[in-house]
Amino acid sequence: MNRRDGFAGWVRNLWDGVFSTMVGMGITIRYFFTKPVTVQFPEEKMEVAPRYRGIHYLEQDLCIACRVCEKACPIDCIEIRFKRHPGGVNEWFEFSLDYNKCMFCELCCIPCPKSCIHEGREYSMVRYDRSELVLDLLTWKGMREVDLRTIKEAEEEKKRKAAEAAARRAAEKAKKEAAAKEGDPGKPRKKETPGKRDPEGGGDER
Amino acid sequence: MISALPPAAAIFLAQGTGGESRSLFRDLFGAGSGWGSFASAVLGFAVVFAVASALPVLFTWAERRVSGRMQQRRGPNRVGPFGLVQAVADGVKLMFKEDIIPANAERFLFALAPGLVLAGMIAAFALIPFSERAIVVDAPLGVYLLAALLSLQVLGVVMAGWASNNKWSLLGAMREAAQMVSYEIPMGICLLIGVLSFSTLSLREMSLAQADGWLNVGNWLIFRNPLFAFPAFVVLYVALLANTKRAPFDLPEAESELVSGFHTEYSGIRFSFFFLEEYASMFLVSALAVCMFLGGWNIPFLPGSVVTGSVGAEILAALVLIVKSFALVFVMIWLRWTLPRIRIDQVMNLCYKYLTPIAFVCLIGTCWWELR
Amino acid sequence: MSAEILAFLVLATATVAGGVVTLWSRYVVHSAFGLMLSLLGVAGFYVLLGSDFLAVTQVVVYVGGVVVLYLFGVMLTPPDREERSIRRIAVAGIFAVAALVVLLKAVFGMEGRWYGVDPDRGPASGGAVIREVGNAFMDKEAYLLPFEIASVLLLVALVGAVFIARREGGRGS
Ligand code: SF4
Ligand code: SF4
Repeated sequence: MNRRDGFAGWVRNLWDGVFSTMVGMGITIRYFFTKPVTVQFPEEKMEVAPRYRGIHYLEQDLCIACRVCEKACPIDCIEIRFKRHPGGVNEWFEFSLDYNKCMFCELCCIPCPKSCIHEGREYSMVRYDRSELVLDLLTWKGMREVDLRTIKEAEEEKKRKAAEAAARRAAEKAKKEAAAKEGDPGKPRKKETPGKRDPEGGGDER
Repeated sequence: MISALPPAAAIFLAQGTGGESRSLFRDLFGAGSGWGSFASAVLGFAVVFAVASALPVLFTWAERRVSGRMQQRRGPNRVGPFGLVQAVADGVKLMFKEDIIPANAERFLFALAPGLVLAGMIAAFALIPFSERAIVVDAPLGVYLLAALLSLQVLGVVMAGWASNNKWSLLGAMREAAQMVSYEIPMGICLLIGVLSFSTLSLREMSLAQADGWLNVGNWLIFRNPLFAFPAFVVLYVALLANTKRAPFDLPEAESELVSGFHTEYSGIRFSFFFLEEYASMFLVSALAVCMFLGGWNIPFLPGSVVTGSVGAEILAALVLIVKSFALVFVMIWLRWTLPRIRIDQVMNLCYKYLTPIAFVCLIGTCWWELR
Repeated sequence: MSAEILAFLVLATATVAGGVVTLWSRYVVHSAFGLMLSLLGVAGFYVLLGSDFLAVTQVVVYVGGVVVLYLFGVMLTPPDREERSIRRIAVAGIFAVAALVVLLKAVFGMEGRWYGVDPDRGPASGGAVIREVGNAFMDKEAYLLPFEIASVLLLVALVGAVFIARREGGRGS
């Protein structure tokens, strides 16, 4: 407080006190009538930045279970369990992400060959127990109707091919035999086993 | 249990000083016999206690909502509609909290202090005229008795501070004592202004005297004598703020420096006594100011006869008084969230250099005005 | 037993107990609180005797004012080692006995009027008594001179307090 002596100073102090209180009260009452800025969290959520990196989501029908994301993750959060079926179909058991560990570095998303794992905009992951923070990203488990059909088709195809091959072999054999009857037999060719190898990369063309 | 003794004693005192005058419960039991007045005192105590403990429920909610809005928050809004039941939930929580008495505390005084603090406030509640007949004790000494009862609580605070055996508590208690003793001076003088304007000490008669006049507000003290009574009203309001330990005069419990001041060591139900006292006395002092300066239960623009006579009219009168008091309570909350806490030397400066001289000028001015 | 007798017994117990605590407590603060109890009990007696103005004045002046100042003073002053010395007790005893003599003389000089309300005047409660007291203070025949002397005394005390505070603490803010 600067020096204010005498009666004039007294009056000025008084005026300052009353006036500044009034100004302050004016400010608070103005705020009183403004809308609160509070976001009622569980019901409303704050809009996050466009490139926010939140909880992952997986476009499961695109994923080919190549495990690249699993390998890319620097802290091994991702665990993938699946079984490969004929026709490029994967039977999914687990695609879990441990959010106790995940640091949202996005390193898993970048190398994905199908660009099917992304970091979403969901950020709330309050749980009562740590174990509940291991989230499964799968939209479905096991196989879908479509997959079963694909497998069936693939198997039929396989059978058909096997039958074709058998027919071809039989024809060749017959030809060979015929040739053998005619002259010397040639060098025996390597036997083809089409059922042993899975056709790869066919899964995304459903 | 010890804590409940002083309030009970105080209400008996208040009842006793009621003299021969009328009051709600005396009418019920008959004034003459000793046991009748005993019964009326018990009933009065029950009613007053119920009212005084219901008000804080509302005010803590209001305080938190208002402060929330003033800070662009929402305040409590989870328990019940608009969070109204929040205070009840808090009250229940307080009841079930562990009641701790520090090892080195003076057990007896420690237990007694909250009750002593509450005593004056509860008893003073009995003196507030809600309408012409809805008054527990219409003491002829009204205002004087009320000032006496208000001055009692400082003892409880000092007792609490000393018995807690804690430096923060003691410092808070000392501040409270200094503050209360000082602010009683401007408060007393401003009350005197009301008294000599109406030449009565009874709050009920003051309220009655403020009926009618121009637009039914002309007889309100602040309008009847605007030159002197209005500043007196402001001074009284500030002094009462200091008396109730409300911000910016909350030095006795200054959270940021004294932890919690004189009630640092209190918990559970004993703490809730202090809490109750603070919030109920907000209403009490507001009602006092309303009865004296703002026309009591009279409604502006309606003739005074509207609020006297039938039971419905008396209920309306009580509502009017309550609304007016709530407005003053709102200003208290408003001030609290506007002004920072002032230093102890500023508190004393304000009291002795500003409020007291102004109050004296108003007193002399009112004398001249009334003799004019 | 009527309510008055019961109230009297309670108040008497409180008053005497407060007095005993005041005298015998080792802590000065306890003494002050004992005094408070005692004074409140006396206020209760005034109520019982129908003199509410006196009762309220007792509370305002003694309980709300004097005891608070005692407490304030007690908390600000260091403990006194000589508190229980023989010399002190002897001096205090002489004053106490003298006061008791004066009191007893006054009581027995009242000739049967000292218990209960003055039957001729009725209970001294209500607004009327305040008016009477006020008029008596302002009446030249009655108490105007003592009243003025008391005010001058208070003023002197006030000025003296300011003087002492100034001299010790230097110029205040
Ligand atoms: S965001 Fe980073 S840490 Fe999280 S799963 Fe992907 S690679 Fe691992
Ligand atoms: S890298 Fe992409 S395609 Fe490969 S497993 Fe992960 S999510 Fe599926």
